[in-house]
Amino acid sequence: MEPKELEVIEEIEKLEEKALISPNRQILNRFKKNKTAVFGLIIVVILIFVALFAPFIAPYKYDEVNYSESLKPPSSKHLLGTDILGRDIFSRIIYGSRVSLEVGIIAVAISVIIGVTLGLISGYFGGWVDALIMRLVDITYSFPFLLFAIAIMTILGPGMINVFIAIGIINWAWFARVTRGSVLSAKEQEYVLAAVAMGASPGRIMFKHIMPNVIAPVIVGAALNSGYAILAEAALSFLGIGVQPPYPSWGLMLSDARNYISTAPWMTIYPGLAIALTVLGFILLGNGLRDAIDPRLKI
Amino acid sequence: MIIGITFITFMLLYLVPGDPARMIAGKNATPEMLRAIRHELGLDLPWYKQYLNYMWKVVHFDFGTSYRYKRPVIEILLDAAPKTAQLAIVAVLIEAILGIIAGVISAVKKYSFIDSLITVSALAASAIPIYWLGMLLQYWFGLKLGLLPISGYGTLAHLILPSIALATGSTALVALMTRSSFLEVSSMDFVNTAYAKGLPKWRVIFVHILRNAMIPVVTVIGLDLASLMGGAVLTETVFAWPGIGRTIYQAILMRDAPVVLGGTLFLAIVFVLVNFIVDILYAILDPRIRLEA
Repeated sequence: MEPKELEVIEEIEKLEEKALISPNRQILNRFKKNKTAVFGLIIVVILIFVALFAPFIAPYKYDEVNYSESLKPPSSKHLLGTDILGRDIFSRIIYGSRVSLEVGIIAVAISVIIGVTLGLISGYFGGWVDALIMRLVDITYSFPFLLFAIAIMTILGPGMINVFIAIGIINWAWFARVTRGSVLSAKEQEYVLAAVAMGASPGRIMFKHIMPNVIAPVIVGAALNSGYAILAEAALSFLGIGVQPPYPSWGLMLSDARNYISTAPWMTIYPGLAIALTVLGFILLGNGLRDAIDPRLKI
Repeated sequence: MIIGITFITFMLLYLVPGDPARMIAGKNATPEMLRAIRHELGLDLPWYKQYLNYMWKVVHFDFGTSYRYKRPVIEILLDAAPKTAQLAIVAVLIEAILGIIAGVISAVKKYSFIDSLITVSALAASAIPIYWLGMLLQYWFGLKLGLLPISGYGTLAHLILPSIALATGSTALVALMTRSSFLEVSSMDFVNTAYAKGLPKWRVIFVHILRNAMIPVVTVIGLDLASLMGGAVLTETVFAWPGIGRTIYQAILMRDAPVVLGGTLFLAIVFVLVNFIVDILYAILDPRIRLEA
């Protein structure tokens, strides 16, 4: 964030305080002004819509094999062409959005639950608990993400559920670190000290008084991380240790396409485009949310 | 840190389904034979003793034996390592040179058309799957234009497409980081002083600002090696580049767990060591940071 932009934002904030607009309204206003953020939101909304109504949108079933239609280029019958088994690429991309959305939601939910819990404990109790958890965070960070995922998938074996678990238990470290930071600064706030003085239990203080401070950065992080989780799932499926055929993951479709780059380039182009657009959508949405909620947030 | 990584890898290896003793002895092994092999491999010891044994072996670069090739994993990895290193070094060069140039242009021409163009394409580049980019490069430059070999290892021309594919995401990251770091430094007092002294603009940009803006950029390049290591698996797979990444991929296909885990551990250790070197580089870039700090 540049100084000039910060100045502009501060001016807007002053005006908003004068006008007595509620904080939530302010966030919404700032978000709406950000064109790329709205673009990201639109992509994410389209993804959710397509995933929910896949059977109604897709002209064919994702596993509908038709050998006479093998490797056909895009046409009015098959919008984005067909693969070696004559399956409709467009329909498979539509169904594949379900895998991506599930990864974006479930894997990230696992990370958030583990990360926020450990971050709260770490920041609230401090001492050796804090040191231990932060050490774990450092170690998790120091292991290259995709390699870690490959290693875990080797143990768990391929499959959709295992992909969620693998990505979920690698990504938690980020949330733990951010949560801990918010807890540390919230702990010094007077209302928290007051709650302690009134004899509130650690659980109550943590979840009732400190937790609300954590929500904003976690939402921003969840949006960004969904994008990276989708990218990771596609990579694992591409390597053959993620989602298994015949279910259409976009990464798996690219893996199938490898042998037909010259004969059927449409098999390569469209699933990759779907991944790139979806991931970009989540990243833009996350960046936009960050700027709208708190431009000074370092994420 | 390395202890942590080896511990994780050990736990993973410990948890791998399947009994190594049975794999070595074959199908007709008697229970006595299995017990003897387990004893020989130290598999009958409690897990912490196994871990110490494992650590001892890792310190001596012994990552076990491949199920498939019946060769020590470290030999297989060392054969492949120089090839991955070539790819990684070229990719780091591309990302450092192009990323910093793009970032500086973007920062100097702040809020211009070219600035938005660079920023938007950098964001888009970070969302593109590396292997998809690789396949598109193969299609355009290899098949359509016929300019470059689409896969394999050998000449310098073989190196071009894979290193571009590997470097793209990181280049974007470096460009964005350079831009924000450069802008942060530009607003500092000493920069105004430099301009006030009447120094030419290029001198202020390259000598005063850039040198100070480089510190976070070097950090990013160091940390980003992690994604480069992961990216190497994908890039080498797409381009049939016979490095460690492709070795890991083939081991995945053949369910050769010691090679997969040994390979990932090997790359992770390289990553940690490189970052240690990056920490030392700081001291050179910024005299305020001393090693004891």
